[in-house]
Amino acid sequence: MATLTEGLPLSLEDRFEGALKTARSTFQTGRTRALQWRIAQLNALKSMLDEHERAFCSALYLDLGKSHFEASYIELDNVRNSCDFFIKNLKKLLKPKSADVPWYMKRSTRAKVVAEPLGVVLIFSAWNYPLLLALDPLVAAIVAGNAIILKPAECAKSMCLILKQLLPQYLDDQAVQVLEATRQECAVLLCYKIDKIFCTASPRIGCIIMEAAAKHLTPVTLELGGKSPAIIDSTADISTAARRLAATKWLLNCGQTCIAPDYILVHSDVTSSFLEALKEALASFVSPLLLQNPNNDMEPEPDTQVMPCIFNQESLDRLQTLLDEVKDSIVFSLGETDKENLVMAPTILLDPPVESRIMQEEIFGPILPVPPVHSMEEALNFVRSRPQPLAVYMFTTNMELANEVVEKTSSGSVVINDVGAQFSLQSIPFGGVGESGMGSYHGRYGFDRFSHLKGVVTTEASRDDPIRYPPYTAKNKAILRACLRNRSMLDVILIKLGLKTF
Amino acid sequence: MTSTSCELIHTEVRNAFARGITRPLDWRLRQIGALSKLLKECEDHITKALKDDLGKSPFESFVTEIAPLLNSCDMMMKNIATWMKPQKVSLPLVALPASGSIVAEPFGAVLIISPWTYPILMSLDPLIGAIGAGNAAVLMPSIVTHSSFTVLNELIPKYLDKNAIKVVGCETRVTEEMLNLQWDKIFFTGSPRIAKFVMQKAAEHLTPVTLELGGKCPTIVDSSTDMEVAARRIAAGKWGVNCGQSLIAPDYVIVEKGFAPVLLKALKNALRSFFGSHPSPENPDLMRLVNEEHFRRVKAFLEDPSVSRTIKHGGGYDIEKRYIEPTILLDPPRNAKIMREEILGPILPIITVERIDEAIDFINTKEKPLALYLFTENDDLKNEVINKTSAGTMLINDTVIHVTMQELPFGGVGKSGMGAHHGKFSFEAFSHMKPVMVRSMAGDVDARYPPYTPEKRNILRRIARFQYLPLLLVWLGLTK
Repeated sequence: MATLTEGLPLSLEDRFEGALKTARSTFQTGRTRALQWRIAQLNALKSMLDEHERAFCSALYLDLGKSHFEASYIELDNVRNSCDFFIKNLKKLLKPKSADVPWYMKRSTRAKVVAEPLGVVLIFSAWNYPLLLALDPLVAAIVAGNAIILKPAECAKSMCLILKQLLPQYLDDQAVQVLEATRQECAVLLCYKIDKIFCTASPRIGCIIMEAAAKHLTPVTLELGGKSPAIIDSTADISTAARRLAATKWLLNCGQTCIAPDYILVHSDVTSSFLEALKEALASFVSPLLLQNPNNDMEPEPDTQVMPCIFNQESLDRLQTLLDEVKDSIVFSLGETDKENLVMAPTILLDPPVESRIMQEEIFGPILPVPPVHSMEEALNFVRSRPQPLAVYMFTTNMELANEVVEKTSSGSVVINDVGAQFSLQSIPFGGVGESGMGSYHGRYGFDRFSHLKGVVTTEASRDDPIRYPPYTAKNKAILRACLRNRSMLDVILIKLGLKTF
Repeated sequence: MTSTSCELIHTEVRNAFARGITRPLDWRLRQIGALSKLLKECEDHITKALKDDLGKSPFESFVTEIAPLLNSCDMMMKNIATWMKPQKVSLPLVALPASGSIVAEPFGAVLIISPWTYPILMSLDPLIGAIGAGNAAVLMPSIVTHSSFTVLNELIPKYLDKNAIKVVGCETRVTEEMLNLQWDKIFFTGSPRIAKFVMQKAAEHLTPVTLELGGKCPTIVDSSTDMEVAARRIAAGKWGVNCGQSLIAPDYVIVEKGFAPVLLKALKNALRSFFGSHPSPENPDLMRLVNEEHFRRVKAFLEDPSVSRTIKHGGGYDIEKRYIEPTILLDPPRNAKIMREEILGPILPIITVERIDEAIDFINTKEKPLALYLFTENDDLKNEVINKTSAGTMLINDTVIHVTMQELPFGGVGKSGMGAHHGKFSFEAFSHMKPVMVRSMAGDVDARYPPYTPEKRNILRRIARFQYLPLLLVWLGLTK
């Protein structure tokens, strides 16, 4: 509690209004538009990550039990790559793109498209990748020239703290502000006028944010979740498929990843060989990690690998409830669930009931249902009857079938013969469709998302053809009609000479 | 129309999409070809409806509604095949062996709500985009322009695939029912007030929206410009088209105090040369207000005595004919209703400032408009305005002509809207651009998988950071 000499603590509204006022006035100075400013922020971010890598990794360990390796490889390195992409390409992205004009305007008129910042941007991060999902959108918002208010995931407490401490030290702290807020407080924050909202969250939260954004007609980009299916066809290379799926499902944040394969539809011809390969992969990747027995009070050495944890008791309880409903479908489980240390035993289910909760809700944990299907058509119908997911994964050597999956399903993205690869690439837009989200980012897609693409048309005032204006003679009307319908210059000349009509 | 009927229409359209009928190139080309045919064969019919609704002359109907639509049809038909093809994307070396592409996928069942200002154009232009992108659609044209709605309601089912494309009149209750249902995309053109409601309903189903809204489009006239030309172009944009009832009509003008008389004179000259000394509702190039409600709304601006005393030209009206003559005001109070709300009518306020750069501050006190017009020969002022203001589109030394430019994204920002259309932007407005990555099963580097030894971690970090040379050295065993 503040003392009398420090004055009263700021109310919620004061805090928010203060931050917004600072962001707006900073944006209005114009300094966030300068190329040098944008590049300087990116370089500062990279320095921050380099100089405090250990501290960031520790925060990720404390919040999520991530190993130093997973933290740096998955979170920090992806942000660094985003920075590098823009350091290299921003100048080119900022160049206005010229646009064609109708032939009869070419002499007097030029048109171009200019990317301009939207203004004050609000970014909501998520707890599962609390660094990556805070800084990756932040990079895109900065390079588009905006002022930003970043709301880190409040339940990833260590990351929240470190971002709050370090970002103002490295970045322009009036243009990029970190604002802590609980879920309830966010409802107040959303009452204020913002120029853009970027949010990574569940579909339920996405709805709430978009509804609030509607009050000010604020555009939103929503990166949401869903049940991303993997489909294994009988022609697939089973062992490679199993390894790739196992690695992404269980090693990447213990299944708590929006693009994790949620469930796997396997052709019945190869179900048993696939299950064997999956168990083998799981055992070889995960067993050594489970023997570590991590203790959350002690940080591991940087080189130590640990099994990522379930985020908190609430998540673990939810997962346990999902699992309890389908206990009879468990065909493989590795190790024991350790509630105290928030470790859940990686589990494979075979053909759990379709109406069970685990087959309805996004799992977000280390449980992998494997419903067998008798045909690929059955698989496609299964996927199509559910809300559009963030990703569809297909393992097959039959490229015609792969194309069918691309054409007959709808999802944020499709990856054939691999899992999760689409996130790290700057040339691919990352985003969802339907319940899995709207809008996308990474690379120039991120730049575009946080920009307004403004058409700028310049005409010479010196050439003013009276034919444009009323009153219109019959001939002038014919000429104007021909021009507007993109008829050729010859046609127009003939009309002018009275040799043709329109 | 009952809510059951709305649900039925919604279901039919959804089913049409689910059956895949709207996806083949052939279907899209046939529909757009049919639309083009509709516009050509029924031009007279459409023109008559626009005359009934808005008093538009056949010429203005052609110029502002039919020609742009025919052009959109042509452009779409020429390009759909190309736009439907997957676009290859380059992948970094470390991602290989793999290939990447972006595939345009239709959203599904889309809802298009259009206004009375350009009732044919603003219904069919988005529809061309929706069809071109392979969607099924329900079109909801405004019933304010009742004849135009009737024409669309009659002709669309005759020419287009009635399983996949439907027309429903946009009246309040029906629109609310429709918005309760789940759409894959909503394209709305209209006022910000209703847009908020549309977006809130869309949020319930996480439906993406394109909103083309209005705003007060300011026109800055700098002393360096040729006043006569500026005046003609402003007058044409304001009064030459739809009686000022256009989302992109110049709403008001800002000029330096000293130059206001010159500009005013030039505007009067322009009006005289366009419409004669005594413009009347019989003039074929002058339109009417769309209905009584809007006539009263616009006339009410002038009923404020603090505004009416600033009338420098015009001010006359004919209630029966819903006609208000071209009217110019000089310095109405800045807090008067006419300076706070979008005018959408034939009244042009001129606001004077001491120095022209004050215009930027004035514009920035208002919401971002759909268009901003600047008349100047001064490059510094040009750059100041481009950099310090924001608008959907900006024009220098002209007004409204950007609607003909298919390569420019036509859309707003802030309260003037979100998303854009025209040309390829229309196609993309109705598509989900879906990335597809195909990886080889081969090339499964052992380093990918745990246990992650220090060597493996080293390799993976290098891969993650695209550090090719160090990677090569590691692979060759020349370094750790």
